[in-house]
Amino acid sequence: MSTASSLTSWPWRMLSFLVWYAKAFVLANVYVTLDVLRPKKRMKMAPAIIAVPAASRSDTEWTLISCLITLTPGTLTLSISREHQILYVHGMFVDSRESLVGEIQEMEDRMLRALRRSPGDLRRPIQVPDVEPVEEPPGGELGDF
Amino acid sequence: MSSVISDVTLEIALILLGLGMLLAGVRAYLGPKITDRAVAADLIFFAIIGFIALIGLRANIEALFDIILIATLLGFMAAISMARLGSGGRR
Amino acid sequence: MELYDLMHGAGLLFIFLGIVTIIVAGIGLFRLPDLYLRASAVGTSAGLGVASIVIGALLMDFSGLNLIKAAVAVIAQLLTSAVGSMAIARSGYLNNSMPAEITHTDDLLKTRRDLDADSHGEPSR
Repeated sequence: MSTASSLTSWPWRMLSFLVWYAKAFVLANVYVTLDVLRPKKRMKMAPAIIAVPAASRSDTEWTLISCLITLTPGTLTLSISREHQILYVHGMFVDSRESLVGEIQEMEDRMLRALRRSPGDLRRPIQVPDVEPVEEPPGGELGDF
Repeated sequence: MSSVISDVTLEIALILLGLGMLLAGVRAYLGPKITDRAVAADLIFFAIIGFIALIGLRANIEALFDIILIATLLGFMAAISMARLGSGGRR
Repeated sequence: MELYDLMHGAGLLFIFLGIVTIIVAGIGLFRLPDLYLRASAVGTSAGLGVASIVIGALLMDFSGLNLIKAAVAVIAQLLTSAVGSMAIARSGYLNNSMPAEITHTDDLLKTRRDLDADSHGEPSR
């Protein structure tokens, strides 16, 4: 019963996610455009590269969340580390680490709720582990293309 | 009457698009690194898609949307190969 | 005739919106200091710019078949431009394109192997 109802609600969940994403997309476009045109002294830019803990599990979810982040102007996925469950995101307007992490995680929560039959496991690593440089490049980073 | 107006506006649009392309071309010429050039070339490619759309509308090309569809898919190949060139084959 | 004029005007509006986005991205290529910010600025024209030019062209030359082709073209453009700019930004990071001075946090810096490698030398395979 529950699987049937979640199947019928899937198109609605997907549609509402798409509407939310379209709104966020247009707003991000406006912010970036305005900041490019602003005089240099009053630019609001505060770029940073932040490690964001992520809740994605499957290949599809990793690919989709990194594509959606990159598609939103102002945020850009630089690298992912699947074994540590981290997305490395370059943000254009990062006031604090928490603001960008919250923004990305809200998008990921919404995407996973729309994509999965049941929300399932939304846990994320609590603190960012210290990622040490390794001699060989790990094969899992950014897929295998 | 209205077709004359839209012809003139399409020509203005072409000139503006050429301006954007010129900006990207200067950045591609200046760009300190190959990846800066790749970003500028990406922008030039989007301007080319705009050119195709405008010229297609102006000349009433039948297969306009097929051309746009193929052009969007080809831009991907260009971006990927320039990224590959920039990183020297590393991923 | 009335509807035709309306769609024509709306199409021109969308086309000019796309062109303005492309010009702003071109200005951004000069005003923004490093590769990642420039890639973000070009991202606006990759998504909104091309999509609104295609939608404008569709409104000016509307038919059912064109609607399908334009929808496929916009979706393909959105997906491929995201992957393309990701690949370019990543290759920039591998190619030692350092973020500009105003970048206040860099978590990825800790994971680098070749901080002292010469950026113009032969890439180590």
